[in-house]
Amino acid sequence: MKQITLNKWKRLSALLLALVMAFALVSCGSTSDGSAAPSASAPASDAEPAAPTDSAAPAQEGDAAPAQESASSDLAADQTLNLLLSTSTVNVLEPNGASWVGEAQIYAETQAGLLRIVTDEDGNDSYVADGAEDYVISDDGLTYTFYLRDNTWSDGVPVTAQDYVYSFFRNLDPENGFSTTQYVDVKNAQAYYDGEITDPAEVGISAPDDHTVVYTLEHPNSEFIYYLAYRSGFPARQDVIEAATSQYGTDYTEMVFSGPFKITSWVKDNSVTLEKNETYWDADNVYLNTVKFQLVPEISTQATLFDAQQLDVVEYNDDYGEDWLAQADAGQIRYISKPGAYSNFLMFACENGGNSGLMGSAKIRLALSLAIDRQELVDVIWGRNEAAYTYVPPACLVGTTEFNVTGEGLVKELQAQYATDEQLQALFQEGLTELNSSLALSDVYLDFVRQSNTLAEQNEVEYLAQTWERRLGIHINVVNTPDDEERQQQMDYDIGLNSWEGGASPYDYLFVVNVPFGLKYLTGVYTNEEVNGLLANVTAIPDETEQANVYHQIENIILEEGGVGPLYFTDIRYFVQTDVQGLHFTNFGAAAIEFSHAYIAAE
Amino acid sequence: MAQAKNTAEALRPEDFVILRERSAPSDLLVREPVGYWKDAWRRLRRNKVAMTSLVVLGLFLIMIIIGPYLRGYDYITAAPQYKNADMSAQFWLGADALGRDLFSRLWVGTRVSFVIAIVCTAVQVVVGCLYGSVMAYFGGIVDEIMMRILEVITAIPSLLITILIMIALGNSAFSLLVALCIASWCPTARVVRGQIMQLRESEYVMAAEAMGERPMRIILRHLLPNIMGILILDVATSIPGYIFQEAGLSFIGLGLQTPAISLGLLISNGQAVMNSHVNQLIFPAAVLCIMVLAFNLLGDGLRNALDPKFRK
Amino acid sequence: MIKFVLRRFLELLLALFLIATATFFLTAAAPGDPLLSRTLALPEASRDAMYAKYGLDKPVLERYVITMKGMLHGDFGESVVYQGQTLQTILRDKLPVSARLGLQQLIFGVLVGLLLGVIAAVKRETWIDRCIVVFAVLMMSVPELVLGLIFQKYFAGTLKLLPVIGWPTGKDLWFGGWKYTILPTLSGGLLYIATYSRLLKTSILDVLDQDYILTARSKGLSEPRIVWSHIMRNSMIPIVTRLPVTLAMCLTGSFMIEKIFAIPGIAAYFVEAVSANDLSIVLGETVFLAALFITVIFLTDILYTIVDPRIRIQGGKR
Repeated sequence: MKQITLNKWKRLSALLLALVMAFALVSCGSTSDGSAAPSASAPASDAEPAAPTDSAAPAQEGDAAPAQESASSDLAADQTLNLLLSTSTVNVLEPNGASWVGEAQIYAETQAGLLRIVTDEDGNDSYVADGAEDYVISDDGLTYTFYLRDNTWSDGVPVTAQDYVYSFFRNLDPENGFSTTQYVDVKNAQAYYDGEITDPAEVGISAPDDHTVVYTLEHPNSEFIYYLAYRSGFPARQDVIEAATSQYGTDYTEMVFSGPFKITSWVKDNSVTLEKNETYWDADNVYLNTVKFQLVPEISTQATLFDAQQLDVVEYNDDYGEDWLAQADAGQIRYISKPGAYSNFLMFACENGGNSGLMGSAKIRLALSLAIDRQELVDVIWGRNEAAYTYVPPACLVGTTEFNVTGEGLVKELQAQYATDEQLQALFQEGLTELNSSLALSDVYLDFVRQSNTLAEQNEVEYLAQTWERRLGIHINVVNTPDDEERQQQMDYDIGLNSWEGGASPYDYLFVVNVPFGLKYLTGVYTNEEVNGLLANVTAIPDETEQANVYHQIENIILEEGGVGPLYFTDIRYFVQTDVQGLHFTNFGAAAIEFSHAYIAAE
Repeated sequence: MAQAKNTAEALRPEDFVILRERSAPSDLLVREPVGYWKDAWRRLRRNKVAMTSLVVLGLFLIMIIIGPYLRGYDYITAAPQYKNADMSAQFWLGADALGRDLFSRLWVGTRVSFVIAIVCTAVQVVVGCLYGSVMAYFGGIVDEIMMRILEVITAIPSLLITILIMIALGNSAFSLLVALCIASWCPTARVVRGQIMQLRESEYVMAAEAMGERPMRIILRHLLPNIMGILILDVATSIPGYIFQEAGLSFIGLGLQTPAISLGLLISNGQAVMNSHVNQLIFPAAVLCIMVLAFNLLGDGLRNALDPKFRK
Repeated sequence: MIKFVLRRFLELLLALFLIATATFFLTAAAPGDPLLSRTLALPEASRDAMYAKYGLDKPVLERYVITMKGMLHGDFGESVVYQGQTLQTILRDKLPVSARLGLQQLIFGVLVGLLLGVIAAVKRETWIDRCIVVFAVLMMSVPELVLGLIFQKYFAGTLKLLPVIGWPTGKDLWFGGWKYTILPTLSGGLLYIATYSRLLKTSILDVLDQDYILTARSKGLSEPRIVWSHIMRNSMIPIVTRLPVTLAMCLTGSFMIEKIFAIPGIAAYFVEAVSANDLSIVLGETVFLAALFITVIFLTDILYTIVDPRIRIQGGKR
């Protein structure tokens, strides 16, 4: 953490999150979509949100938000929440242009999107309606109609359907360079983006009146609705944006807000302060008056702040974990822990065989992957996280069907099969023979490129390299350059570290071996015809069990061929001050810590 | 009193014995003639603080050479079962996050940092001397141009240029060397130039010139030996600076990177566990502090010893 | 004198040009594409638009010409990493913060340092002198990061006397929120105490050896008069001439302190910018700081001739 070089892990994870926003599926939503479309009740001014899930503010830890009437007695006088600003860039605080996790955290709390991601009683991600009050999906699955609430921008102007349409077209404008992957399914969006059609009216989004937004898709996609919890699912004000003197979202004084909070202070690269937005439709149920985000690069400083109760939420850290766990046991602080969906894996330069020319061999890749003791890696390097024997994290479901199981998987089975160094070396040797290579194992030199240069990852890389050298008798050359990402793009390596966080469906993890754009480099451009064929049709399979079987089939091919070498799944671990109630720690939400309805309890 | 008087009166010339003739020539020096270096050494030896520093540095030097092998452990290969082991008879200073003996690693790291500092200092002194003496010797337009170049280099804040170079060249011992040395020779060159400017005016250089000696030979034979004092001081004060800079850069992730071992990396690794295993931070930091302290104190001593003003 | 100043000014411009050129090519040669991670997932058209926006689609030499032209108008271009930020906005927001921190450290450190230096010189060879010397060398040998962390943990964490992090902004930017500034000032200022106490002590001892002090004594001048108009005045020369450079240095020197105490200053930001390969900002800041340095050195030259009459007589060159 002390590295002042831009923490590349955070950068990449942020990037991934930006992508996740495009592809994310929200776990428990899968059960309710389509069929769960509520009856088209007319938009009402009822304060009770008619959300697809039951409560507007289910508390993550099971404690309910205070009821409106009794709230005042339960609440502390000072409703201030102190959080850390993510160490990655925080620079564009509006939904369309944001690229990083820290930015998403803030835009999600200062704007009212159609949907808001929260967590349910089990701690799984879920969503509630926010800017929309209600929606209808047509029977053919092609038309999504959203009925908006009476919400008001912080400057007093009503939020209209046109604001959502404008937001959509902002993302679709190539000149802006914003993420556009969200719209692949919307009718004519691609053609409009490519300039083949120029009339916005032909694009599948419209606002028949001020309170209605209609999306029309090219083909049915049951996952489409979850895209709307991100980016252009949030409204944008055309007049304000066009009047802005600098890029909109970089100067808070020129911005307007539609969400629970508004930005009242922003010291670049240092802190962001939010205050309650009284014009938000549900302002009565927003209890926090002030939320302060502070950038604190040093872990030890974070710890000092947390111990001094000047910080309300802090992430688990190996160094302080034991002390804090003891405090949590004593009831002085709360410990939040749940499995995460971040899959960390080895990638191999499959496309060109890498610098050594050997990475084209499935057996060599598999030998490298199987040589690593995942549990030991997790224990030694991280002191947290879950060992991975599959590529798709166990957090993923196929519909309601469980998919993978923690601590088990094909990798474990294969490791039992190739348990000894001799067996692994024989496997590697077989790969060499297949490539008609006359190299002896001791003549093999592989370039290993890391993802970031954080201290933990430096140790991880050292551990992995030593393990390979010891067990396989080959040589590993750890590449120390600041251009890791570029090397990955140019396939200028043999082995690399990478990570990916998709949504709740295995598809979101498996598709990266067969996608356009830069994503294919995530897995060293591993391709397999059979996998591609299966992937093309898997989402159309109606039966969950059958679908899960195909997913397993795909994953097993990838693992057996060493397409990726899964290492571990990053878990979610936080410590929270006891008086802070109603926080939601989401896996896939734009806001990693959802606090719109949180409050500080009286002592 | 009276008695004394009586005694005095009692003295007669026979009571005195002439021991020997005064034979010493009148122009003999009060003190034995001592060369500049011998004298400096004598004064340094009398300086307790400086001598203690010298002894400490000597001990460090020994440990740098033999320290890593004292325990006979493999200090490179990870040993997960000993992760963050506490101090014990087995691991005198504990083990690091990958279960390796900190005592052995500490001395390897010190060795790396020390060697980097020495090499950098050597580069600084050699380049600085050459540049400075060429400037001073030729003077005129050559001096003018070289001085401007020097000023340009000095004008870029050194931290910035160091970081820029580390980024451009990547993390390796070589780029660290370049980054640390790129501007450090400038002050040396200035000082050398100033000194030589003075010496140039002296008679023996004029004599050498008159005898037709080649410029390079004059620089090496006559001028450099005369500025040795200043250079030794320069060395003593530069080394701790480099040790510090290496540690700082490695600490912020811009210096060496694992699997290399250096004091900066050890401190960096130690800081990551400073709450639960403070020994991993304290020992490398202490070695760094003591080493820098010793060099600084020795530098002070040398300054006094080599400065002719203090010559008594 | 005017000719001298004019010549130095032209040299200053030339030096800046050389520095800008060197920095430009150094950053251009540095591996790592600043836009890569931002554009990884974008379709071709958006990606091209991004590269075109920052001029990164053009060949290096063309970019160099464009950059140099822009620089003549003080336009260094928009930050690649921090959208909407330019050198001007960054300097406007961050320079005052670093300047206050640096000035406070400097004023505190130099004043205390000079005081200790005088005491050490007066009480030469006593235990007081030795304590000061040991303290000074110790402060020079402890990294300011370690000092900062210790102070923070003890004074702010354990004793809860002072805030852990933070820095006054807004109307308190220059003269307010003092409690926030105490620990950062202390952590960074100790180094100045060490440097300046040593410098002054050495300087005073040098001066005491000079013949004119002996002359002054033999003339029967009063001791205070000797101390003030002879000893102090002369021994301050190295101090005064060194101060400006320290002043310029303290703007970039506190990046560790800025990081530990989460101070929104320019030093930590610059290191970030270099690491992120933020070309325009790195270039702009380097040129800005170099200009500052050269100007300060230039002023020091003039200052030298004012405080040290001997140099004036010799013709002002050193």
